[in-house]
Amino acid sequence: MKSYLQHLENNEAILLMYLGNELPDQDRVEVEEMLASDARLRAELENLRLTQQLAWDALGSLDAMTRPPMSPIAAQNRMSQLLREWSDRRRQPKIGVSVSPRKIPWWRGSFAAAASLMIGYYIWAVYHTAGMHRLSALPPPTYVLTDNDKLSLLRNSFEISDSEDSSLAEHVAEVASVAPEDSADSSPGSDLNSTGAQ
Amino acid sequence: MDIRVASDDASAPVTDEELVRRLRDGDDWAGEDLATRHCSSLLRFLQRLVHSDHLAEELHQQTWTSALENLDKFEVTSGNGGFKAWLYRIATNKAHDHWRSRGREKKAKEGLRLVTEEAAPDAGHRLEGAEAEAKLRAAMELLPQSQKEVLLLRYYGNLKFVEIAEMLGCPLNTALGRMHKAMIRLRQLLADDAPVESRTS
Repeated sequence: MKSYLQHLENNEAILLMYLGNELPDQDRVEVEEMLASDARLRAELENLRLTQQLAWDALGSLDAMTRPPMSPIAAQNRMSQLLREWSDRRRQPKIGVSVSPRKIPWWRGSFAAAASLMIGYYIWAVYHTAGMHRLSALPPPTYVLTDNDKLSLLRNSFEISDSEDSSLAEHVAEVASVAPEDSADSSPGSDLNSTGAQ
Repeated sequence: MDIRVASDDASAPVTDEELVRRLRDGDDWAGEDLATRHCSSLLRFLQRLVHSDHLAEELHQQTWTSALENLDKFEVTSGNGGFKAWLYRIATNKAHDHWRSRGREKKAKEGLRLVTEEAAPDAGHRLEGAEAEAKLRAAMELLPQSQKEVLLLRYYGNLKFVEIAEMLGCPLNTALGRMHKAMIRLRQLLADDAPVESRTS
């Protein structure tokens, strides 16, 4: 049995262990030798013994003066009931637990993993391709500038004053009249004149 | 009809651990014996620890229910103290769980109870409401919780200091120090003639 004396911090700890008869024999003999030679330690032990006795008396008196939370008979009945319930639960066969779990062949795992990978790749490929198709199917963006827009851009770019504005409109009208027939139809040669007139 | 099986050696008292073994093997009487041995002291321990009969009763039932449910986990041959230490450990943990879950409420009620207790003792204790009892109860309640736990485990559980230290998760010297302080404090509280409640803890 291991010695406690080396580990106990003070006299109170040693004496409490001694009083409680919890020291190994070797420690006990050593403490008794110290007590025999040290009157102060003996007084300390006696004081501790009385203090402990007072605490035990206090708790004993308190128990004698107060009722327990429940009567011993009621407590015993409650315990019997708990025990019966526990025993019943314990004796019931466990439902839902298979006696011998089914053995799965080793290759099934590998097969399942490979199949999962293939399915995953297939799904990814399908979605990826479909996404590309969707992008290519979109019409190219078209931006059509009207004559008014073009005039506004020129005015803003070259900071044209009001006096120069009428000559610019005329110049634009001339350019529009020189432009080929087909482009003049689709873009806004026709309303250039009206814009210039304004 | 159940017939109690006498111990092989009638002169030797059957240990708690032997009763646990029998209970596991289906002997319900062993469970009754265990209950008879520890019910009263465990109830008193909880009563002093939580200062409430109703709560002590509730925790007592929870303790036994938990002990039975976990009986297979209890190691009969382990060196961590016997069945009693295990049982008191469960009870102490139940009390801690309760305090943890109702910490704020407890603190609020604690102050109220100390103020009103002297003036209006509850009906259960009215007939026994002697001054000595009130003083003893108040003294016990004024002990710091950590010191009181050691004192009560020692008195009601009759546990060794090593077991108490292990149960509370503290060094042996700490457990011994708490025990010493608890005894000294209790002596101080009971020695004075003045009402215990009027003194600060």
